[in-house]
Amino acid sequence: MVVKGLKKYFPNRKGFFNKIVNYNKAVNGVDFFIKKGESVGLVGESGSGKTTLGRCIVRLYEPTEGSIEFNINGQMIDLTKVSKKEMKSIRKHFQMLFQDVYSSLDSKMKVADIVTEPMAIHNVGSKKERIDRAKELMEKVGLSADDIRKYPHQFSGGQRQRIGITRALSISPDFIICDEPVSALDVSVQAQILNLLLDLQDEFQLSYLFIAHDLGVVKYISDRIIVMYLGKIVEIASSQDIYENPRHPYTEALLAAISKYKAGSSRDILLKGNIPDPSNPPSGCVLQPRCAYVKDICKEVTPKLEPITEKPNAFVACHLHKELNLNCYS
Amino acid sequence: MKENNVLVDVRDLAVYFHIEQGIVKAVDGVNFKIEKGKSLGVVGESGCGKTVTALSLLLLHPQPEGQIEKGNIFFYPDGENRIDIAKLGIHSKQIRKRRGNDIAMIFQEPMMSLNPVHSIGQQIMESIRLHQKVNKRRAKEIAVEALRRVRISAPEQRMNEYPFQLSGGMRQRVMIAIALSCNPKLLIADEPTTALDVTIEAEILNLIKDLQRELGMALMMITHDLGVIGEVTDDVVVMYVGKIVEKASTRKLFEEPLHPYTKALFKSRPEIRTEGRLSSIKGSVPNPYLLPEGCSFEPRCEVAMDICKKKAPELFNLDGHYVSCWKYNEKEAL
Repeated sequence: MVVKGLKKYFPNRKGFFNKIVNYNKAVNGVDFFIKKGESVGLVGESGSGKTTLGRCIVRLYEPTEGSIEFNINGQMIDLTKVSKKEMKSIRKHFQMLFQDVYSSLDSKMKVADIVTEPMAIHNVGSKKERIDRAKELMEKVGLSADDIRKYPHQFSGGQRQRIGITRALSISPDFIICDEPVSALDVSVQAQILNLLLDLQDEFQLSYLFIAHDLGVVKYISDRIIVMYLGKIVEIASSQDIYENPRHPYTEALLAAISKYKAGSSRDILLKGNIPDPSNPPSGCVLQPRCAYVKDICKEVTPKLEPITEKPNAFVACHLHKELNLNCYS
Repeated sequence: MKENNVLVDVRDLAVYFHIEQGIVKAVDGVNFKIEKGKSLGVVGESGCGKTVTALSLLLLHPQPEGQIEKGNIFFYPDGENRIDIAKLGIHSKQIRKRRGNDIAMIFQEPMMSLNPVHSIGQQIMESIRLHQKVNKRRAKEIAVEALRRVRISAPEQRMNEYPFQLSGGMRQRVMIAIALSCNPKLLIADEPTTALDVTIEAEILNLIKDLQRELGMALMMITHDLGVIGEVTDDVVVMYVGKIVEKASTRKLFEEPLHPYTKALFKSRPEIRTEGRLSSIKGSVPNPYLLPEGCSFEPRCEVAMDICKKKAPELFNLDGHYVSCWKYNEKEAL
């Protein structure tokens, strides 16, 4: 999948005639690619546009600008150009996993109906075949086949996320967008779900876009990591590289915020203040008002996402990345 | 430990839920003390009874189905007098005098706990006016001061804003401001950072730590995250299905966790240094209606012995490090 120059602006309306006063630039020109079978982590604070980006890719939001090319059986199809009808058939190639396991499962539907619904929509198999497939998948994700007769409220948070995973897998997608699938779960259950996602990736050759706000969690699941801030990508690198050698001050700040799991420890806070208003982003570099290393050039010129010469597939958007010596906190 | 340093002394507390399907022992014989100005962490998975324990200190546990079955919650408001909160009526004057005044609480979801139709100022002034005999103008001054204390910029202006105008981290700051407005002796924080971003989480934890030192209050921190425990607390209690399985100073627990459950919790944390797969605890928390006869962790335990199936271990004292596991009492186990 290749994403080029993707933008999503939400209009801010005001007054009696709903006049558009300005735009919320949630995703503001984003380029990246995901290879088949690869999992890519997408990290940033809330308000950085990571969920919007995920939803644009499956066209739950209509992107304002840019293209999303998706490889379907060897053919690159631009998802922003296809009609709604075609989109419906394309959608079976990707699925989504949500953060809130309480609101993403309909409480009035039985697990059997929840899990087979995607197959019913895409006309996969007969009713009996669908149920059989659901049962098989339920066991694969660590639930029992009998659970299919129960209702969502009878399950714990971790089990609900497993039901969500079963639903996503039911139509054999190539690509799953995981929108903070573990951030609402207990630490011990997080580990179970992350391991499960890794196993399923091996078995079904899945690609993941794994959205999270915590750099500690994405490490396990991602081959590469994209760091996003205020609608822009600030750094892309392999997951090992980003933890050992961060090149953007924002990545450094996120690494500093990971819990250390030590008695009497404390975390350094490298970013002061709040994320700025996305309808009125700062001039120059997006991080400039909060960055500790800011120089004059950062206030005037917007840095481009540039490849790093010594590392293939690594990109950073910072004027100072060659001079800065950032702490990797590990 | 000198007795007059103790602020809260919980002895053999049990809170049971009487519901249609049977009795759920949410809290089952829990003992701990909180000293003045110290911080205690309570850690465990969801459903282990940590929140119910905290709520029962204020008699706010779900009622009428939840009942304090036995035990005492001794509270020492001024070093001499002793009140047993467990014996008070839930609407009694005594407990209402304590709630929000001597013992304050902050919750996980700041949006749910703030009233959306009242301004921030009104909500802070409410508890000040309730517990302190001051006029409106003075209450307003105290409220502005409380907002300044939690490092909110332009507090006078914020007083007139509504919860929806604030970010998640800001709302949690407002919650802390409300909790601290009456200078409580104990602050109970129930997963205060779980709903927040990691960057904001670090800020809020540092704020809570600073304020605790400044005001000399005691803190009870409830969380499922051992990382938070390590940063904030002096002592830790590890809970599993209504019981304390391990109790020690934070330093000791992090140096050498003893109980298999605590060890497993430590192993499943996502840390940058660990390579490869995360290890997770097999299975899930047992059904509260069908608790195992012996040790409640036995079905998930990797080092379980024969006796673990038959008899539940007590909390054994190993040099001030308490652990409820037969492995540490081999004499009796054999």
